[in-house]
Amino acid sequence: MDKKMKIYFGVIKNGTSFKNVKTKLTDLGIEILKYYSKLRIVKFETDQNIEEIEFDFFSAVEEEKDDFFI
Amino acid sequence: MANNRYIVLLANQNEKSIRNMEKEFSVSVTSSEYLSKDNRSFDIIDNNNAVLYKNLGMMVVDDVDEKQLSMSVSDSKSPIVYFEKEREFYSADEIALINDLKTDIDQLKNKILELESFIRNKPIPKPVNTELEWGLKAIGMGNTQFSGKGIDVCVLDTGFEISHPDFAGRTIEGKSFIEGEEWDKDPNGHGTHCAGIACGNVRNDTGKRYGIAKDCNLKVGKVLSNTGRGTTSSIIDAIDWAITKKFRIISLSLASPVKLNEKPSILFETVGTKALDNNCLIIAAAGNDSKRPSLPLPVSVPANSLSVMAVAAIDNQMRVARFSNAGINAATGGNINVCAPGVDVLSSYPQKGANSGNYVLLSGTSMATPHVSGLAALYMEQFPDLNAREIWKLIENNAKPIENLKYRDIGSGLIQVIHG
Repeated sequence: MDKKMKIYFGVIKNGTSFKNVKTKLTDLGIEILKYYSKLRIVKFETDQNIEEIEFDFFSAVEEEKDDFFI
Repeated sequence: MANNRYIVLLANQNEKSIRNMEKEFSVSVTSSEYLSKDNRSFDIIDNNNAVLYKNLGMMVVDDVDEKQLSMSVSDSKSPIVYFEKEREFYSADEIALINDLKTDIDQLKNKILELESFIRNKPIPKPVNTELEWGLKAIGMGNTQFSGKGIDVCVLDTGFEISHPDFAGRTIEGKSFIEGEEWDKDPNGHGTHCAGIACGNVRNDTGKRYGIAKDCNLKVGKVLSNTGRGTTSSIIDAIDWAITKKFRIISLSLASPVKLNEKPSILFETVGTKALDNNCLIIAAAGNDSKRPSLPLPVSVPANSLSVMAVAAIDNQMRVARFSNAGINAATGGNINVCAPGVDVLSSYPQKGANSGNYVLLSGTSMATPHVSGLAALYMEQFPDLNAREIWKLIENNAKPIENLKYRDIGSGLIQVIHG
């Protein structure tokens, strides 16, 4: 059974360049969806279990939520 | 080309003087007594000669050297005592006079229009005598002349009903972050209501005022679908857009509930900090999950981030609203910063379904939040040198504690305008 693709947001650590992050995510086979340069946040998509991946270039990784309500 | 003619006044008209004159200026002088219809003065004069008018003691002479005439006047031996260039005289022309008057009237009309424009545009402070909705009274709107002029206030919500009559003539910029739905329509109505509180003005039927920063620049981002639901992506995309556009205030009347002792989102903490670094203040609803008095629940995401201002709701009796979330995750973050009117708040609304008017009453921390956003715009206009962090501090410092209400529920208190 195919694993479900999920969207995540990674907060880039201070002192780490986006170029470096891009290389490492590509090496991990993870697709970058968007880079927010003003926020230094990367949106990416993967079906991998991110608990098992060491993102030493992110200070935090959060899964996309869809429960924001009025 | 016409020659210059001169009128020359003589001290005497004796023969010697006339001959000297003829010799000095190489002219032949004819006395006026010899003029006739066959010997007209202008013919004589035009032939570089002169005519002497004995009775007047003067002579008209054509095309002589003016410097030489000046020297003669200075010379006491010369009979010439004065001279001047011949002048031109015109008959009075009625049409020309009327045309001149018309020109004068046009010039006067332009002056009057200029004066009228100056008077109409003069920034005269108008006395505040407009009736205010209860929420505006509660925050002291009657005590300020500021209107958020020039401040970009961005409301991220369900969109905005651009056809609402109260916003006719306003320039509103917007963008949709929801696929297939437009920012300038609001079938839900929530976004139009929130935008009305923060950036509206007066009702077009009763003239009662419900909007705070009536002269601010309203910016709209549609981040919630027509059903009133949104994702992290739509919100982050819109905040990134707003910061890139250098908007000063982001108003978020949306919330995602959290569990007891759940840590605040580092993602939104980062976003709030980056916004402040870019001189942009994010203000968010505390959330409506509580069932008071027995069960207050914690402040939702994103308001629970320290870098995002969290807003609770009160009613018109100065009681905390039964649904308003509280700072009960204090150990991990998520305090309330301020409170604002959020129960039975009237604002703009699209005409739809049972609502045949342009206004409805709604309740929620969603309604409290745009009160703070509107007030922040007034502060930013009033204190243009302050940055977003300083404006935040000023809002909290000027908030009014409410008797018997806890910091946990209302933070620093009910927001207030600063007199001015």
